[in-house]
Amino acid sequence: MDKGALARALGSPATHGQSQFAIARGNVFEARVKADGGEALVRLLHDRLRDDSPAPGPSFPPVTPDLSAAGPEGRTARTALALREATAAGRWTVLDHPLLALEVAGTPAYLEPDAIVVHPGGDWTIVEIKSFPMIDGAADPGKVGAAARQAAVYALALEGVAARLGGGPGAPGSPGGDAHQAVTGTVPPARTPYDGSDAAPWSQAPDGGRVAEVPAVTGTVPARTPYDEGRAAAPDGGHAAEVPAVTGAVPARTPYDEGRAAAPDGDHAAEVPAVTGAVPARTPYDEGRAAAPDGDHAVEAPAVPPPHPSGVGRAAGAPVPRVRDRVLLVCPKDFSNLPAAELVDVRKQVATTRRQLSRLTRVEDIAAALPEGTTFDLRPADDGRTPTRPVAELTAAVEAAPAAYAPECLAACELAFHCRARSRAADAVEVLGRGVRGELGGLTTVGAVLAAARGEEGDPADPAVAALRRAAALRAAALAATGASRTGAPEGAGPCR
Amino acid sequence: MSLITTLARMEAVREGRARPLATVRHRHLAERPLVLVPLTTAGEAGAPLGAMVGTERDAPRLLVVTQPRDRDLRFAFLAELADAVLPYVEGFAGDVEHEQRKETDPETGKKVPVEVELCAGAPQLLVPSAAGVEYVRLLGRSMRFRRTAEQDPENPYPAPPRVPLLGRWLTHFGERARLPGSALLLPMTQLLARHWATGQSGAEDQHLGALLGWLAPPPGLTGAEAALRAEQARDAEGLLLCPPAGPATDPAFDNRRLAPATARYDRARAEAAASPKAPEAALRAAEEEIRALLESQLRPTWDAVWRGVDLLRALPEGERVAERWKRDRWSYTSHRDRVAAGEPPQPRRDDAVTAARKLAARETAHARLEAQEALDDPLVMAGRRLAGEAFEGEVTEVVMEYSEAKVPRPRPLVTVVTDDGPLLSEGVKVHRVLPDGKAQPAEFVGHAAGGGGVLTVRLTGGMGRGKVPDEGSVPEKGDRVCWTLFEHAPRGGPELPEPERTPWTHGGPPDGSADAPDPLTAEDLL
Repeated sequence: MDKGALARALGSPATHGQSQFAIARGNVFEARVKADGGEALVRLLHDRLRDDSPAPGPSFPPVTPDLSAAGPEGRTARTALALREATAAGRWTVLDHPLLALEVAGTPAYLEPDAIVVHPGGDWTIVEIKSFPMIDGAADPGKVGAAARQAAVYALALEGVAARLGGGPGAPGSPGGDAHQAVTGTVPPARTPYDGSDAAPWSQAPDGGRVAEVPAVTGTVPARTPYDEGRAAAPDGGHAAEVPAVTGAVPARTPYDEGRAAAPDGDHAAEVPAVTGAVPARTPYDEGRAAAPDGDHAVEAPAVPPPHPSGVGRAAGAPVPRVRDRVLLVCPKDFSNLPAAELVDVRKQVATTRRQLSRLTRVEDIAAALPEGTTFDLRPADDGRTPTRPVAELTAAVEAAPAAYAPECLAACELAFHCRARSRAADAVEVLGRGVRGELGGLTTVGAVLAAARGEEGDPADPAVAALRRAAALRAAALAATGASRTGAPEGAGPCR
Repeated sequence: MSLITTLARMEAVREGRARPLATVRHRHLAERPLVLVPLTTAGEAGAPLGAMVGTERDAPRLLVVTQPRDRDLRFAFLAELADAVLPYVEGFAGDVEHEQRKETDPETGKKVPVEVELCAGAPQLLVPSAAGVEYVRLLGRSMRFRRTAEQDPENPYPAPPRVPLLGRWLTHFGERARLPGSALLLPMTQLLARHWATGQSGAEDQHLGALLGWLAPPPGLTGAEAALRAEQARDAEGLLLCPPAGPATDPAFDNRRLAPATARYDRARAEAAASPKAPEAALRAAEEEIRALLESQLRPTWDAVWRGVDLLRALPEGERVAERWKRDRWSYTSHRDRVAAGEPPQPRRDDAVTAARKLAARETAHARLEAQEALDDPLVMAGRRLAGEAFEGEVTEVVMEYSEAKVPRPRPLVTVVTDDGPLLSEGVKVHRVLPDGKAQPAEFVGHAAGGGGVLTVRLTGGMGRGKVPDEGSVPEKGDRVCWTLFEHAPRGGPELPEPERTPWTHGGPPDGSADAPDPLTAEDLL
């Protein structure tokens, strides 16, 4: 689901974008931080920790396992495996761009942190590398907050992995995979490793961000839309066409998954749900195209203990690895390209995110509430880009999914301009800001507020109406007294050309 | 956002253009402000891309960094910027007035009047948006610790002579901008949004083009349409018709126009460097191209800032604005003196004592600004009345009473009828402005028996020294008076001790050592 394309087709394109200068700079900085086998990164972490863990060095170099695998679920599985090995290894391990899965509104979302460091003691620390500067030890609080919220999502996903490895019940399970889950898994893997300092907290996830922002949208994009198929085809070699067929036959596909998917409790489809979508039986992953890592994989995979039928007590005795609640934020120091790092406590953000995720309406529920046959298909022309679907039809489809616009959306969502236009057309007071509603009681439209203020409508006994009338009277009196009721501005030539 | 502001925004929504939030101008606007529109390179912390600067709207000076990743070109830009800004800033240093100030005599410990200089004017920098203010701070920080060849002959990358000085001034402007009500460095979006309410949210008001769209929509368009056009309208190439006010550029501009032009410049430069005989025409052309590109992004913002200046000039200045501007002049004068005395640049981080002082000063300035704006502007006062922080009404009765001291003082009881609902309880202090501009204190006595907005206050001062109150210091029956529950000249908390006398528990005396310059990296990666 490309919300940007949808917004363009609706005539309200988003203004988000990334300058290639910023991307280049971010990539250079990240590469620099991760150079020399992650030793510099571990050293930054070790310096900040000030605990008794052994320092990395030539005699004690960090391990950087290869995490490449085909498809998002392959990479997720590879990450989980690498984490398990690293936890037992008693060494510093740097996982470069691991992939984690997190269930958002009943749908799996993939998340790609910049790095995860496994301590010699077996603890895990999330690393976020950002390209905004830390000047004199202080960075822009807004950007740090956004980074912390982003890291909190990773921490949640990682806790799920830890619980599974340790045998706890923390897996964010859902009762069995269904078509929708499978379908969402077909989105291409992470777009760009770079995540720009101003990126929305979710944007790094291949699709998780979109799911989280407007779950309704993603949930209603079945694999049947040619648009989606076109995209999905790219990463895994044209399997998209097979997707609908594959969904029903989840288990026993990849060698790695064999043991797990056969589990009688059946919740593994949910744990690595994307398996269904993008790694069907005949993926290159299986066919040994990526020989070396996959070879390993196949051999080691059975070592994952098969889950107990009851779903508890898996790998009995294995302690649950600890996900540290302080993440390492790495930024350029002052005006240089040298890294500076700070540990950021994300406990609060984790709690907030967990609560928000638990309250999200499930995608299936939203999809179920939509009229039969609702689709956001743009019906692209032969060039694959120009949409041919009538705007009115598309607008109606988008309207079918409920949306609550607030000005904050403008910074995060591609469809915000569209929602703003609809919100303005509906005369909703929220276009002026979320807080506005607080003082207005039951009045929800600008027209109602103004009518109440003029004394034409509303119950004078309602405190909100009474306050509005008083405000209108005071304002009118003050303006009349000074004769300043005009804006004072002449008819302008407009802001720009 | 108060209810009265919300209402103004809704009026703007309905009318399709901005509505007034103030009846007077609440910030000083200099005769000849210096407008600075900076641009920065995306993703880099301290790599300016260009700037448009000047005091004449028809003659902006365009400064350009053709390759922001080149330290020499950046230094050349900063030197040019210093050349454009410093003469303006220093131009106010010579014209001084003399003021009397009480200072503690170090020998006797007594307060004695001293005559000190106060600059008659001060520079005023206008930038397009709040992000521009932050960028001025950042530029200041990046420059003030630089060392010139004269200061440090060993330095392999000496800064041009006046660059560290510009850094100190920009730091001062940036720091001053954090003081509520100050006017040395002002963002145009904030100025306009203070005086007019648009039919959009505060976050959207940060877009200068959209804000001006609401304020002065072109004929035939509503404010919302004009704002949308400023936000979104793109030409055939996908470039914004109304470029962002910076310092960040539009990513589409970066990717489609600037990056190819920079690449061409790099190539031309490499060729010119490879063969000294190569014609420099290609290099010049590449430079010109980048200049023209940046001008196309800067000029609309430059014009927009000046349009904002026009709009603001149409408003009469508030009565107490000059008093706040005088404080800005003090600030300018004292920094001029610090520079002249050869003091080191502002430290990287304030010590505890300085930080506490700054915080106290900002809190006081905030309270003062709130009070002064309300007193200057009936529309602002209306908001305070609605909030129960002031009340206005007609005097219905004045009863003369006297205090019970040895020498009785007049303590008249004044009864007023008001529609307002002030949040009063017995003994609460209220204040009103006397005809001579001074504040008169009073205290609330109680509501009249009949209720219905009739209340009584007792005047407690401001009536002169005699037994009979001074002429005009007691309101008469039929007068309309406005009392506020807030002080008119709030002074903040008790004075903080001198730094030398601050105990170590509270940060103690500052160590006095100056910060070292930023370490230089040989590689030119900023």
